[in-house]
Amino acid sequence: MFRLLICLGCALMAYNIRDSVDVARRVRQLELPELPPKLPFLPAALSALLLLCGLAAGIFGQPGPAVTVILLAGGVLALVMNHLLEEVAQRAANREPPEVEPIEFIAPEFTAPHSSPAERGPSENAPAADELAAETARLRARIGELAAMSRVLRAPTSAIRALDRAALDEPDAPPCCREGLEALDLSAQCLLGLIDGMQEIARAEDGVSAPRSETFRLSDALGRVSAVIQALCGEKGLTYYVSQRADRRCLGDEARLTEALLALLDNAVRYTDAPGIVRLDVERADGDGDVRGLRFTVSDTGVGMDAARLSSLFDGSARSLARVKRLIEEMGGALTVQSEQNAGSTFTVTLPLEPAEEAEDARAEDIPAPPKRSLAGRRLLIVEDNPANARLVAELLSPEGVKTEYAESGRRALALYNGAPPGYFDAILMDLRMAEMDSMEAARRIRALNRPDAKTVPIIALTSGSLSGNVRHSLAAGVNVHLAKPADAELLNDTLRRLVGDAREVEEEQA
Amino acid sequence: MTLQELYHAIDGDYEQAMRVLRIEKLLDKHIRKLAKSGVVDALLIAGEGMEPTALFETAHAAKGVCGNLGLTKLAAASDIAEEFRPGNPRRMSDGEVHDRLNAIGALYRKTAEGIAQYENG
Repeated sequence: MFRLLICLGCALMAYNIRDSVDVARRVRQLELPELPPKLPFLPAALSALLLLCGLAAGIFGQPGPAVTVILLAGGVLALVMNHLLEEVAQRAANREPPEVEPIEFIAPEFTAPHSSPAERGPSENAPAADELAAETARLRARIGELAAMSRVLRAPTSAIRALDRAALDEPDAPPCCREGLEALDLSAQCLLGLIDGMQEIARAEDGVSAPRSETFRLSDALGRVSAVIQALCGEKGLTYYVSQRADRRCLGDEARLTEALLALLDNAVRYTDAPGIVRLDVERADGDGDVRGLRFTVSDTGVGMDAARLSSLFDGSARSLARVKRLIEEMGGALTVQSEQNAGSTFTVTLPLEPAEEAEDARAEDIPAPPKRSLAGRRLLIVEDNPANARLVAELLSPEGVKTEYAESGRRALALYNGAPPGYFDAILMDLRMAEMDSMEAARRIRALNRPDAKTVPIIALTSGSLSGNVRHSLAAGVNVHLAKPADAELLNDTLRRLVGDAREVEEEQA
Repeated sequence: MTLQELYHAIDGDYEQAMRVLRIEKLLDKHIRKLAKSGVVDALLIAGEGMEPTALFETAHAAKGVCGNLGLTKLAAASDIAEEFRPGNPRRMSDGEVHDRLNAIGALYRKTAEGIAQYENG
């Protein structure tokens, strides 16, 4: 019975996807420059994720009443959301003649006369002024429509997120379904951020918007972006890598950063064919004067651009990229691009994102310049179900004088750790995902052990980009730090030095 | 042929490999070991039998080794690992898996040829 209902929900979701794509195309055809470029396709992505959850629950799970009701309700809400989008798009289409210029051109120089009134007769000047005034009014009305649309969209999106959270709280949800629900939650958060961005645009028209200075955790923002891009890459048969070599709580405008990264990554996905690669690298960009910044590099193996296209890239012909450039410059950053035809493109964003005050950062994972503590003689437990990877890590650490032991699963790691005397292992390095007891469960059990070092032994997880959505949960399970795979040797050493030293200091204080 | 020239010839990411291995001597050692390790050959052999466990284990191993060596295109074997990871639903048809493995095989042959040329100076 439940399977039948889930099948019904899946059919509804398939209809929603087709409907969403149609609506998204129509909204895009309207070429609303103030509309975040990702927004029209996010309902389709949400519907696709719900469909995956439904299929996973129906085929592999043991669907209960709660999961069934939640999936069906999610389908109905997605349907409502599509209709609301369609209605607003229709209204915008009716109001706007297609030849209207993009909003960026409502600048003082646009409204200023190109020739003095004396050069033109009154009969020529008056209609032009009227036309401009009417056009400005129409554009302002359109922005009003968008602000209204964003308010309308917020409620069903919040509802989808709430239902998704409820489904995640279901203890019977199968793991494969849970992963989809996690991705759905991140996509919904992303969509809510974009909706807020639309309202911000409306406020900007009233002259009250400026880049925000708020505290946010970089890994959270990247996790949300990655959930959306991973889904897009998966659909297109592309591989998506995230290499995050810096994490910190930042002071800055998370919404603008998220929108800019989404637009650049979406652009990379669009112009890359399977089996291509899209990747996001994040690293510190210190050294530019006193600015403590971050560098975000979005690269792909796609079609690339020739020199002519490259030189005119930000002049308005690619409006989403022109908007990205403007967003970044508003935040005090810079955007550069390198590209070669048929060899891919690389967009580099440098932003002066200041670290938040240490006082606000109770669980900072920023990876600062480490004190040069020696790792010689330290013992590391490597937990990795790929023996070749484990051997390589051991080899990388041996010049530092680190001793290593190996466990092929979380279960084996738990047994090894629990069987060793307190203080025997100085740190644990775990692959996030393993077949027999994953690192989250292993970390949770290690932290729950009744031994003096159980709470302090540093646990480092190695995470692939596709699993970035799990970061929040594994931090809650007791993992100290996530490092992107493949592990950067220098970063791994620095992290070990910092964490091992910190743990020893805590133990000494406790002693 | 230098290591950088080798990476250029085989479409590898030299900078990524150096970030992982830090010194060229280590990279030299491990890139030479790639063909001898048979890690990608094992994946291609597993593809002939289409046995899910073998496919997952060999693809997982190939993904790790190639990822560490900056062979990002070969590391796309991660698709196969995810396809056959226990508990994951199948998304590709057997034909698509074969196509993907054929692409990996072609890329691997090019890589192995490049490494052989590098070893011969």
